[in-house]
Amino acid sequence: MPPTPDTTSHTGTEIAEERPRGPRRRTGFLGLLQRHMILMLILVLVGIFSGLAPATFPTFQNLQGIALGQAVSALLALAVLLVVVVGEFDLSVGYILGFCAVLAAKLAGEYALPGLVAILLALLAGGLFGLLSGVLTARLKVNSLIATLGVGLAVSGLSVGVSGGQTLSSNIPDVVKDLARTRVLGIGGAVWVVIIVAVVLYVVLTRTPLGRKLYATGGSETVARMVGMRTTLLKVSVFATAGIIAALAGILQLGLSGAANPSYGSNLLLPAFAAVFLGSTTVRPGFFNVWGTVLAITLLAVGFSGLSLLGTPFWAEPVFDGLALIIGVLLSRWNVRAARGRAK
Amino acid sequence: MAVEARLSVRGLSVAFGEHRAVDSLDLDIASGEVVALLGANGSGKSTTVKALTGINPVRPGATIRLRGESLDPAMLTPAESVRRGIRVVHQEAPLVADLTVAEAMALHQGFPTALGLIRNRELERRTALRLAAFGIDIDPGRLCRELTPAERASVSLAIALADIQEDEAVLILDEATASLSTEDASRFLIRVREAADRGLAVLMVTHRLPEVRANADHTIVLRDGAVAAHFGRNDFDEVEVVRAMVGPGGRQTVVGDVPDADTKATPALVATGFGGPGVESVDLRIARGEILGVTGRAGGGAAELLRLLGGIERPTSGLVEVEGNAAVIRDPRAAIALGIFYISANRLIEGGVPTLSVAENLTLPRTERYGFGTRRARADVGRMMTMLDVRPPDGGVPFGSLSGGNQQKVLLGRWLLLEPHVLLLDDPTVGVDPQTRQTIFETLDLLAARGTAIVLRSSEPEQLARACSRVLVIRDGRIVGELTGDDVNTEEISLATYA
Repeated sequence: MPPTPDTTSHTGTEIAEERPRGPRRRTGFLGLLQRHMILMLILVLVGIFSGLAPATFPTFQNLQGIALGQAVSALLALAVLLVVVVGEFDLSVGYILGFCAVLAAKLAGEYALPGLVAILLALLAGGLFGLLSGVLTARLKVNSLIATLGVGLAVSGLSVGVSGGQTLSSNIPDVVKDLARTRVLGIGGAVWVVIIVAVVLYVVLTRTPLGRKLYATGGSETVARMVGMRTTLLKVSVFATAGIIAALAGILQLGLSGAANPSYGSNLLLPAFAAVFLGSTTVRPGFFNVWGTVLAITLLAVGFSGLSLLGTPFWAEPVFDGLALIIGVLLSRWNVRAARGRAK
Repeated sequence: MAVEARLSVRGLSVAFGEHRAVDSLDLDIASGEVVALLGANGSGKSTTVKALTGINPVRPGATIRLRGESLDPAMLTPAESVRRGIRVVHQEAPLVADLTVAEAMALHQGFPTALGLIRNRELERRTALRLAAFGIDIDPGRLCRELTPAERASVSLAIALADIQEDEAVLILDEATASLSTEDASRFLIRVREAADRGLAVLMVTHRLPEVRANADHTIVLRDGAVAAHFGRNDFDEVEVVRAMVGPGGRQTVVGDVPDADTKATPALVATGFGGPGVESVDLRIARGEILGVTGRAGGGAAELLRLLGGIERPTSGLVEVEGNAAVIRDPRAAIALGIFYISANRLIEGGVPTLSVAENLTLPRTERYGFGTRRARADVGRMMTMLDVRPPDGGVPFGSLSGGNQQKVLLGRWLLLEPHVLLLDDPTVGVDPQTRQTIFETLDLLAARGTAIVLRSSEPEQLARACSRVLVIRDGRIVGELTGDDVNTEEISLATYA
């Protein structure tokens, strides 16, 4: 018989209780290094690729291309981030992205609705799907992985239904294209949308009581409820907002490519999660955070763009993303362990 | 005695740093004998059990003899202790929820197999046989998660003794009956008694004196890590036992320095016919500035009453009035809006958010009060950290990195910032160092003097005696007694709680 684990009765006070030590704030050069590891990696990679492909890599056109190409992924990653902050997962955002792109294309193309109306209806649809996931998870207590997997699967079917399985590219309204492509200060509209969403999320998450509540709910829903927070309402709102952000990403995708493919979006889901987790190792290590996520997306994009300029085939991108995630997380854990070792 | 005892311990000491938790303890358990180990919290009961089971290191110089064979205390590991025949049934019997009873037992005994595959029918047959040997009637195919606490205890008993003869083993009941009803507990103990009659040696650690009277051949009372008294079956006396547990000075009443509650004014909180999970029906009246103690055995309703008043569990019956106004305590949010704040005994799960900083945890309730600005929050955090002497005095460190005592200070400070109307504290000194205890009690006195009504539950009667002017005794979800005046002393509270 193996030893039964020691269960201290809750009336027992005989042994002073030892809490596991949480992450410590790092100061000094090493702390700075850890907090900005990904930023530095990006700069190093830019340097290397600029040296290796001076004619093609460090050009404004290439960098603009990288940024525009990643705008949709970045927005999707921000949707994933918001849900992960409250301690849940949303697997449906990729499918919502695809559905909303198709829906907007269909409404504008076939039913000739004004572009703006089509956009608003698509955002509304994304929000409603998110709301559904939120109610299933927070109110009906279905595990969020299962709830959003179910919602996502259903949405993927609806995308095919709405589009008839076709890629929709006729009569894409100008407002959709303009939103994604118009250059302001030389930078594409899609990139501006990402920047605005990121700044808003950053301010909300780090500078407002609401953000504090979201992190508290993610850290311990029990405690959050016990200090009077409406955790169910918070979670449902977060899922709905994530749905809207995913829908916005779908509209950007439609504007950028000028076509809506019903199967698009689902293959962006895993890289988005990868970026969120990789991002949690930097800027504010141990916390899912906005700039970490954006930097992680940038790192992955710069890394792969450089490699492809050097002749790496297209299938290498997911391989690169996956390896970067695993190595990044391992490195940061090793870093934490080293810090603990020093603390002893 | 001509025959050597099954288990014979001499000079057992366990030290944590400077502090001797157990100091040269002698203990003998003969075959077929049930020995009870009693003592207040912190007297060394659990430490003794953990020493015998190889969890706590024993100081050199002790001798432990099991069935006449000497056991090297330095080499005593949990696995070795089990192998030699020292078996334990814990209060919260740890059974894997998703396994059947038969599978849970096979984890310890081994699975019967044919060609590497489990023979399920044979396994169930064996298990049923094993359970029947203890007079337990449970279908071996049932999932452990479906078992009642009484059934869990019985299955744990069968598992503990599954692969050993009763005349070879020593069974330790580590508060095994604490979460059982009185009837279930006595049924469980009858099985243990029968096993003892077949030759088992039993050491029972418990708080329930009637169980000891009914079952123990011999009783040892510990106080401050040493044996304070022995009782045989015939000279067992509950008042004497409690007196030995409490020690000299327990009679002292501390009511003198408890501030007088303003009993004439509108009471801070009145509950009538109040009930919910674990609480049948309670009538309660707390004056402003009063520190009301509640006590009772685990699962009896005292802790549950606090959870209901704090809105953690939803009340199902009764009326509540706060300051003379009818109130509905639907959830923690509603309670907090009424100024009723609850501090849980389960600091690990229901305390703070471990990943957030101390400052963030302090300002967690009603964060919106602070808006976008940080200046007010910083001032409030600084004030609380100084007042409660939180260490380290740095609001930026993660809450999870604080010691238990400092975590408790932060949790208290969290509610102090909001001017509590009624403060409910469930065992606030669990795992808290003596200095912090002092700080906590001084703070409670201060709050009471300012008019806060406080309800305090504690597993340590001396703390209730120290802080309260009135103590309610709660059993089976009802108030069964009230101690006031000179009766609020450690001894009376212990008797009322455990007898």
